[in-house]
Amino acid sequence: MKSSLLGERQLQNDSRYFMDFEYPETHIICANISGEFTRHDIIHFKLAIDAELSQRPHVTHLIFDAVKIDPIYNAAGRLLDLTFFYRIKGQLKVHIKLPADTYGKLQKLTPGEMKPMAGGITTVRKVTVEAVPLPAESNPITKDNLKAFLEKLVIEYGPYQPETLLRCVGKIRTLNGSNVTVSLFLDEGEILGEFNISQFPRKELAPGTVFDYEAAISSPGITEIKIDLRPDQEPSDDDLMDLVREIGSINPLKDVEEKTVKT
Amino acid sequence: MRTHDQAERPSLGHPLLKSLPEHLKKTGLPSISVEFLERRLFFAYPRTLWLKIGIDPEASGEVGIRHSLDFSRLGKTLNSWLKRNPAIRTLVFDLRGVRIFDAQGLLSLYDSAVLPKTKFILCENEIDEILRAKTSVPPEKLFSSESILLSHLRDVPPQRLCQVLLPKSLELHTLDQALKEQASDLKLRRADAISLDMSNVTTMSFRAHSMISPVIHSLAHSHGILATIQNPRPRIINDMVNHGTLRPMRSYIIQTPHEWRSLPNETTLPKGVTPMRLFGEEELERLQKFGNTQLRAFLTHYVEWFASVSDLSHKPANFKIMENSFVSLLKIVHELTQNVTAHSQGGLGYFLAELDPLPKGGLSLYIGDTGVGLAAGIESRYNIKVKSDLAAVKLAFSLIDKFDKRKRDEILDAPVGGRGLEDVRQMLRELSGTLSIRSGRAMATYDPRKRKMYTELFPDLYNVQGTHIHINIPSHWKVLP
Repeated sequence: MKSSLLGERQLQNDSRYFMDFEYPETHIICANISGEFTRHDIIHFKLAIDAELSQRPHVTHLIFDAVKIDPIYNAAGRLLDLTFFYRIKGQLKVHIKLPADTYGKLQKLTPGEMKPMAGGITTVRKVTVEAVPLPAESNPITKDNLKAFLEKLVIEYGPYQPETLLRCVGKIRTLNGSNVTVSLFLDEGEILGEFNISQFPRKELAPGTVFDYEAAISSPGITEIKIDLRPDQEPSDDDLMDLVREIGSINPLKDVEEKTVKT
Repeated sequence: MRTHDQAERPSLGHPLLKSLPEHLKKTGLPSISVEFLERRLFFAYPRTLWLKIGIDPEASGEVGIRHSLDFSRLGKTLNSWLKRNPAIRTLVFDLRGVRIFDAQGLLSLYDSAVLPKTKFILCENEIDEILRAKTSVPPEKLFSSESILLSHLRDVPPQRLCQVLLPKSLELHTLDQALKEQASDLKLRRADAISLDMSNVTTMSFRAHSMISPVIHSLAHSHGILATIQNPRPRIINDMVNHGTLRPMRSYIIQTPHEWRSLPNETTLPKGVTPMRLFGEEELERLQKFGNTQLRAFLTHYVEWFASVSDLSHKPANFKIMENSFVSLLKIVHELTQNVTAHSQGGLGYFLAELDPLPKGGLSLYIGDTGVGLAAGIESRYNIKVKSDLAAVKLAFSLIDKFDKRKRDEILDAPVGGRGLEDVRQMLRELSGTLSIRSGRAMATYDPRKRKMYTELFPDLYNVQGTHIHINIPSHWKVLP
């Protein structure tokens, strides 16, 4: 049997609240939370549960099924506080189902109160907590699957325009193994960055080597970096800033007109 | 999204007038008169007590209460309060809706009030004609239009500006230093507006952009003054428009071109910038959805940045981790914006975000409010005493250790919540993020990856009301396999 949407009872016409009740047996109420909710909603949940309990005096068990709570909007900690309330004040036997990830996070926040989950079920302040593992993906990020991931994003958020991300003059500062510390000379001044030696066209690099740097996004998520070493010479930093003033650098966050993504 | 236009018209409930009703009560005015006056004590910028004497013709009994007012006594009471509250330096007697029958008594109130140079009468129709014929009220003190009077008040002369010359490189600490040196309480007491002179400014950091509006709002609350921006270079103007630096407080800013406070042009807005938004409790949900959308747009544009950041603490990174990192960012915004509305107690919330993928940049978030401050916020939620701003910022990310001191929720009759900031701290540790939290005069910086406690304390900053949180997730340049 299934009945009494919270939205109908307490918060009419507000589709944000997703909680309904089931009655597997006369002494059991199961409160199913099937969407996002915020800290303020806890009070509304309580009012709805209280209304249920007042109509069903024989109820001794309360089950919260929160496996589908929203990973961003959830107020799982407060929901747990609500279960403690019914366990202590309501003298009910209380059971809550949470995503395993959510339990893990709560346990990290208050390790003194909650034990690490073992075997998928534990008790916290005499409330039974069941951690339900959710399917996990584990694809290492590479250029190839990043492209696939982004194609999915493009479908959702609109196409990506090819663009030059950054074009400027650079200079090698130090070499430490495969790490190359460089200065990039932009309109707004010199910035320091760290490159990998594999990004340079040849390995015979030395501090002071000057290069032209260009980072361009050729297709969604794929940034192509082009580094051209300049002929052997070592201009001063002032010379390089003069060069920037003469030819300009491209820094899309400062200068270049870009199309804004429709959001 | 919310606009804040309080400064452009007289408003009820300004902090500078908070003590006036209590003062009226203490001097023995009947409580019915105090309640009547309390509904008429408005504030206008700068530093103006605006007394609206008119009555609501539909409100029963108001005519009788006004007739029963002892204007001579009220005048003395107002004068004694004004002497104790030098922040108010202008009086407006708004006689609109007053009949000739009452005018004489009200005029005696005007005559008795101190501040002879800065008191004005706003009136219309017959009262206007009678007063203009009366020699005791100089014509330049009489106004028949509210908007003209407001413009007159807001026309702040140069000698009433508190000049602050801002430094070449405008960052959080250089802004703070300039304000400390050039806009002390003493100097502000002699000013009607703060003037931020940007003629030297060539660069402006994200954190400086984020704090300009809260500083203006804070000074408006604490000193009742307006602000003006002078001499910014074209590049800085463009940068301020894109960040929405001045727009939230545009009604508090005088003597500046409209374009500096206008909405950024969507077609030229850098895609890594989300201009500043204001929000209160009613706009929270919309703001959070807006924040989610903006961060998703950042992800779309700079997915490699997100991938490299996700790789910081997990080698090798995978999509689940990247997704988790992104969800963590959304949760951080969600948690901190909820805190703003829960703890600012009526203050105004601000949100600003920027993603600069270059090495010195990263994702910067600012979430702040000009509410009651962190110490009062903590005390409202926990059974602990927080003695100072400094104690509050030191405690902010250790509140989980005070879990058993949480106050009981009134409806639930049980302690609720209290995990949010610890959650933020742990998520930032995963993202190698850093954070600073500022309240009043104090600020603490945190680097959750290094330690749980604060990493640096700043006990004596410029006083800015409310609580201000800056987050930075640094860029991490890495070549994908």
